[in-house]
Formats: sequence, C-alpha cells, structure tokens
Amino acid sequence: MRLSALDKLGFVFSDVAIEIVSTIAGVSLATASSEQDGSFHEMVGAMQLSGKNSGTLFISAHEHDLRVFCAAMTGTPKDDVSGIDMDDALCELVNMVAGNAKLRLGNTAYSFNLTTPFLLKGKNISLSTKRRIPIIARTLAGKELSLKLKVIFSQYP
Amino acid sequence: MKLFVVDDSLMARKVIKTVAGALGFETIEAQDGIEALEMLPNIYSEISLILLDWNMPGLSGYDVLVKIRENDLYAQLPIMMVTTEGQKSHIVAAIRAGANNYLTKPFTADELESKLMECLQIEGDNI
Repeated sequence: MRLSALDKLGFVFSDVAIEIVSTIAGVSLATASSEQDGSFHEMVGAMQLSGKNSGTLFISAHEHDLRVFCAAMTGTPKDDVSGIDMDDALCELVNMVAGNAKLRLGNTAYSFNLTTPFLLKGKNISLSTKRRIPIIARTLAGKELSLKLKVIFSQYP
Repeated sequence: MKLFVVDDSLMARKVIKTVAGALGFETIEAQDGIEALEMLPNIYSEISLILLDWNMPGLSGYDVLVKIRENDLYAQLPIMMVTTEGQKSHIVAAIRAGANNYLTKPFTADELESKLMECLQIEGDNI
C-alpha cells in the first residue's frame, strides 16, 4: 500500500511537470528514472507544501539546460538569457508544478497549500531524510533538458 | 491598448509581454502587489486590463484584487486573475471579489490571446 501511494504521488508530480514544460517551452520530457536518489543538479528550485501533511517539492536542473528552457519559454536566443532569468524560471516552474499538483491532490491525504518558491545553488547538493521519510524521486529527461524532481512528505498515511 | 501585468515572476511577465506585444498590446509591469497598488493611481486611466498573478509574496493577488475593488475609481477596470491553482473554489472566490476573468498557469500563447480578447470583448483585428 505504502509503495503504491508513493508511486501515485511520484506519477502526479512528474506528470504535471512534464505537461507544464511541454506547454510553456514546447520541450518534451519523459520519466527516465524513478530511483530513490537524493542527488541534485547545481540549481535547485524548492517550495514548502504546507498543510496537515506538510512536504517539500524540489526541482533541479543544470545551468546549461535551464538556459535552453528559458530561451524556449520566451522565444529569445540562448545567449540573451541572464542568470536572473534562469533563477526566476526555475522558481516559476516549481510554482506551477506545485499549483497544478495541488489541484490533482486536493481531495486526498496529501492536500496542501502553496508557499513562496525559493532557490538553492551549488555543486554536489544532495538530500537526505530521516528514517521512514522516503524521497519520491524522478528524473525527467528529453533531448534538450533534464530535470531532477523530488518530493518528501512528513507522513505517508 | 495597455495591459497592466502584475506578477512576481520576471519570466511570466516576459512571456505575457511577448504574446501581448505580438497582438498589438503595450504592457506596464509591476513585480508585486504592493508596487501595483502604488502605481495604479498614476496609470489607471491609460490601462484597459489588469492581469493579476494570485500567488505573490507580500500581498497575494487576491488581496490586491480586494483592495482595487474597494476603490470606486477602479470599478470599471477589468481584472483577469492569473493562477496556478485552478480549483473551482478559487475561481469562484475571485469572481465574487470582483475579478472579471481568470487564466490558469501554465497557458499557451493561444489561450492567453483568447482570454485577452474575451476580457476586452475584442473581435478579430480590432485592437
């Protein structure tokens, strides 16, 4: 049961992310991996998911990939994409994924409210959690872009 | 015609500006609700529509909507809420508070164009 709930949650968040990236940037992604892995790319967007069952959503990308994503999103050349653009785009992606996942999980034990997205940057960032708090992890990859998506919840009913 | 785009996301404002620009609209931007309320007295007479993001730090888009509708000066100004949260309850709350329309993120250029036309009651090339 517990594994099944985790799989369903993983599917909701990854499906939403794939759909959003396709809609706003026209970039196709598919789930390439679903291993419980705590590693991130060097730019990490995150959001606390507040509610009875609180959690955190993380989406990470390489800087190069994020530049491609921003260029596709705004129709501008890659060289015109600034660091501020990339920071903002990753936070906005996290915001949209959380907002759309909230809609799908609204009537479940995992319903949550949105908070303000934030950014972490650095090399070799990884996530580790306490015992019994599994990391829902998906790598979403396509020709132009690879994202690492992770979600943790404080409880798994 | 000028649109007032209120969104804390620079990229969201850029996307809206690009799509709206291609349709012949000019845009004025505010990066949060507080800045929007500060700017509004000086620009309200020249704008045709406010696009108001819901999830912003400080004042939420909903809070800004309520404050705008408290002022009779802005009573006729159309407002479209732009939100990542498309629940019916959200949309109903916004409409009850005085929003004229809503757009759910993510949106395509076609969806934005269609909502702009609907909000401004424009047909064809009549911008």
